[in-house]
Amino acid sequence: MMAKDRIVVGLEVGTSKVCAVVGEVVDGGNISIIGVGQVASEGVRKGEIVNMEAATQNIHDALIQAEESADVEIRNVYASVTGGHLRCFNNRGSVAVTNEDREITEDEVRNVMLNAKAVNIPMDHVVLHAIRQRFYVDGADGIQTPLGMMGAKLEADVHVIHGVKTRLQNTIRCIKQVPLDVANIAVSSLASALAVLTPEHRQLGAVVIDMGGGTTDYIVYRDGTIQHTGVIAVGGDHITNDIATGLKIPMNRADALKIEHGSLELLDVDETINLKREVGLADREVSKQQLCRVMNLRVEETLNFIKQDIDKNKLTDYLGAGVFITGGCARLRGMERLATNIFGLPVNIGHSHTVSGPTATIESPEYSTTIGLIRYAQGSQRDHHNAPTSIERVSQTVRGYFLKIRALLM
Amino acid sequence: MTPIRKTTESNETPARTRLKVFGVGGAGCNAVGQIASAIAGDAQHPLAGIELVAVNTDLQALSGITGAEKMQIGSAITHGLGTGGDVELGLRAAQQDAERLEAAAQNTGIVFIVAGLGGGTGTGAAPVVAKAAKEQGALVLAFVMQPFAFEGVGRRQKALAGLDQLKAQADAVICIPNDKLFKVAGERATAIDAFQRGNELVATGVQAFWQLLARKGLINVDFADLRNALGSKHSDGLFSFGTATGKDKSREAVKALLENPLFEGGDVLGKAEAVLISVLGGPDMTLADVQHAVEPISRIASRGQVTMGAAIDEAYVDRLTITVIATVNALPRRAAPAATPVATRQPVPEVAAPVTSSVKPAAVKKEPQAKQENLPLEGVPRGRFEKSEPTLYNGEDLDVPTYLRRGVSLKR
Repeated sequence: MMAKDRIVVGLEVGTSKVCAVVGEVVDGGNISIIGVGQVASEGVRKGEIVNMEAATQNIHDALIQAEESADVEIRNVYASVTGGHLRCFNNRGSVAVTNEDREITEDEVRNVMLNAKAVNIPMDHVVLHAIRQRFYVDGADGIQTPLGMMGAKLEADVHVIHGVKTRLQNTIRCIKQVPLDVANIAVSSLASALAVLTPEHRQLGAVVIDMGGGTTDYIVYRDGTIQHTGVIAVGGDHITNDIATGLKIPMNRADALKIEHGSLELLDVDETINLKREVGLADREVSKQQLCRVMNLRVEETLNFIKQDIDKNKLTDYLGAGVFITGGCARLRGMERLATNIFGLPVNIGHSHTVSGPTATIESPEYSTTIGLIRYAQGSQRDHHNAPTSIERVSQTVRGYFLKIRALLM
Repeated sequence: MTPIRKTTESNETPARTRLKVFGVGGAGCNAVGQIASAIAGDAQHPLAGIELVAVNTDLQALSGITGAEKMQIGSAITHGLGTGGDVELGLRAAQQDAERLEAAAQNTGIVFIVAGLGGGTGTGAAPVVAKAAKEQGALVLAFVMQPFAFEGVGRRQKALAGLDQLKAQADAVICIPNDKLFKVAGERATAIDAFQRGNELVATGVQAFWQLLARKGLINVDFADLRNALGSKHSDGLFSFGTATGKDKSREAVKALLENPLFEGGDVLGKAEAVLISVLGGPDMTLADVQHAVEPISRIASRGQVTMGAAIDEAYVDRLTITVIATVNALPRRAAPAATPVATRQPVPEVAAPVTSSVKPAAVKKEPQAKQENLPLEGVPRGRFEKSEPTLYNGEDLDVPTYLRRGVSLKR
């Protein structure tokens, strides 16, 4: 039983790939990757499932691969979610400490967290994460654990991430149709950050930008806590689409061109790229200058949106550790230089740290989210308390339905 | 691009910038009545000094209005009653009193017509009022409220027909679909509240123009600019505004403006062929504030001609209001209305005909060349994202390739 608990599976149903990573927590909290399964994704656009049937099949195939490579049986997974509908804000809750000796007990801490989470979100939204940032006792700043302290008033800051309930449920529903259990869900940016950042980075302040196939997720840490998150539903797909439109070539060719010849650096001298003849497609010549121009414009725009958002929230001065770019698009040539120009901060192309296993998996930025999910699982198992987890909040209404399905299947 | 004018210490020339608001029909009179009562108690009101005229067939409805000049039309036809929703009756009533309407519009620079479409008087008489004012040489801008969807198809069709008539006469028509008022006012708003919000919107629109032209401007927009932006385009006009206070007020105001349901999330701006931006702030407004307010809007509206003005109002300390009026070329959804728009074009002074023109007759012949229309923005390829929900960010559809939105040409 113990050994089983130490095997966790992270699953990302992404726009370009469905990927499952099997991890084992070894002594000292380090993670060893023991299996990977990955298939091209067919049912997802901009981070959200648009074709349930195709997505379910992809998940199924990826997990079979993962099971085979790790030689384990997978019962439940930790899944990442994303989508342009996700919103976030920071909120402060407060309670009066009413017991006689004015000592802050677990009751007060629980109540203040409840109070901080009691926020006005649109009717169709559900809170995905409510992450505690810091406590205040009688206005005194920056308290990590207020338990046992004396005071009259306890306040707590939380970062709330919420999204459209039905759209979040789609991913869960798809996984359950495989059938598999979803142990918990996490927003992609949070998972990626857990993989890419060390505790020191988080303390210094950092932004992690996960530029994937369909979305760009970002998360800002300041003083060790999450200060801001965001999702822009623009990713590698958009770059490919821009190339296809701009150079008038089909999507699959545009994608190959992006990977083989694409760069975010603007060229002074033009080069001609010969597109090789394929069945049914004529020989074509395209300008590398134009290709890079199109790509540069798109990525620069997206990064600028993030920069503006960070500036607007006045977080630029707190990013001591700099910018970490991960996700498939992090591999685009010239990304580091472009991002350095935009942010004016040190830029790292992020990959996962403190994990061991097949290096090809660990060092590729596109696996950050899935590996981060394993770390997330580690965390959510450790401080398990009675508060409902993200998955419980999101799947409240469908739970009964799935229980019935499972009963039928068993 | 953005014609920016330096202030030429504008002393108000009464005739040219004289402004009159005609409320036509029940809804129009209500709106005018509300503006009147707002001004009455407040000498500092931004619209103080404006001339208001309530035009209606219904004597009883007129009697309830104070603070505006009242004009009963078609007394011989309706005998002081309403039209009962008969557009023809409203039209005849106005035609009967066309001379009085013309007299009322004399020596006026700008005439605003406020009407609710779908009823008899508003729908029938408003185009006549517009024609009368136009013949007096005024710039005619109409603010019309379109009926709620629940008011039925019949009323809606009447409103659309009336809109076509009005467009043929007025320089620009700004539509406020009543259904969108729901979104502005919220589901829970009472009926009175919702209608009041509609009237307020009209008042804000009128106010924005008024301030644009009459107030001391940091950056002045003059009458010619306004005519240039809105004159004789016969397009759909849409209107939105945003107000904000505090440190980041210009950015906040832009955000509020784009989020305003009247602007459909800012999409309208991308399609606009002419955009008029009016920034109103207090004496503490900086040029940077103006820049931050105008820049994002003109960037989105890069397809169209952008005209901007900035004005100061002493009462607006630490406050900023941006009003944007965008004219969108109406899609060719139906044949051009009977009255030819060209006829109302400003006459070209004939004295200017130069002697040399007879030498090169070929050059003159070119004039009636057809103007090539721009394709609507929907034509832009969305490729892979054809069926997915558009990614809207600050009013831009990010699924459209960046190079297209930025207007970067990829030369072959």
